[in-house]
Amino acid sequence: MDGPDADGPIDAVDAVVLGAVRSMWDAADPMPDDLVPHIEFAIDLAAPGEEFLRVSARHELAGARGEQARLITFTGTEITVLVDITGNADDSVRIDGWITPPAQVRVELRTAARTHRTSSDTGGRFAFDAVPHGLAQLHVRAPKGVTTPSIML
Amino acid sequence: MGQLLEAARSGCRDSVSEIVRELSPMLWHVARAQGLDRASAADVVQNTWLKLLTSWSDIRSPQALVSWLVTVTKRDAWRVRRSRDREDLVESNSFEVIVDDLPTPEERAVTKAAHQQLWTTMKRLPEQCQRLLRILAFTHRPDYTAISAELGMKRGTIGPTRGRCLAKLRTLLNDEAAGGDHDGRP
Repeated sequence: MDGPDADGPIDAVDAVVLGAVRSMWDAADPMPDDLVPHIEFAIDLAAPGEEFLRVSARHELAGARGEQARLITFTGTEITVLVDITGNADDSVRIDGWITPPAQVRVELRTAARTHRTSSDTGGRFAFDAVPHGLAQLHVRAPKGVTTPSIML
Repeated sequence: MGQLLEAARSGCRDSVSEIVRELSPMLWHVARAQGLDRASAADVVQNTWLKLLTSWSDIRSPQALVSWLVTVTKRDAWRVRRSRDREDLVESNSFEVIVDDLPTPEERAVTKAAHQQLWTTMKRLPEQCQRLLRILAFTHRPDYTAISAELGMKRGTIGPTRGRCLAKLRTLLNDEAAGGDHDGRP
């Protein structure tokens, strides 16, 4: 049986078919609900001229005692930041970080509520002992300011 | 979209947000169609929007915006996929690595009868057509021409015309409607 030809203009039936394809894929593989809020969060806090790092790796690990950790690596043109996110007993979150190449710099963790501040040591290591769960973004004042995409703690 | 784009280019945050909401689903499916897991696809989509922040001045029309977004997302997803395939997972004595994403197989998610039927039909199409139609389904009609090149289709294959893939799908649907139960669907 001959169907509609490839060179014909897109018609109303095509629109219905594509609508059904969209509906099917929305059911089979929906975009996560939190993705747009994550993006808006990152954009809202972006300062002009900052470079955004990109997530280059993610791992989840289970420790011997059953605690869970997330490792995320952020990569930029001149700097790499590795963070290790773990839960504290009081439901806050601990972040351990490493900056490569090692540098002693100011590091900020921006959340909706406030900005937490610390510095890395000469080895590039930094930590935030207890921060709340929620969307956050790291900002490193390396030679020029760099920022990560937003992550969920 | 044209007015929205102009407002976004001049820095209106609400317009930027609306464009993000409007076009992210399309980019999600571009990234996933490249074979990325859900977390990586989300990262790639977020990364595309962050890159856009410094590229607004290069983009002069809604078609150019869609084209730019799809291109950046597709290339980035391909790059991530390639680097993941080569990555050696480090294993240590005291930790075990959990696969960070255990997606439910898509077949399990497609439960409604209507979706299942279309799902089965689409699986009969060539892979490239399946991918193309998945992304086209999330794109507005005027943008088809803009993204056809980025999606690897011959220029003019998709545009104001329906193209080979959509024609194929229509034919399969016609055949099934004629040969199977008559339920009035095209």
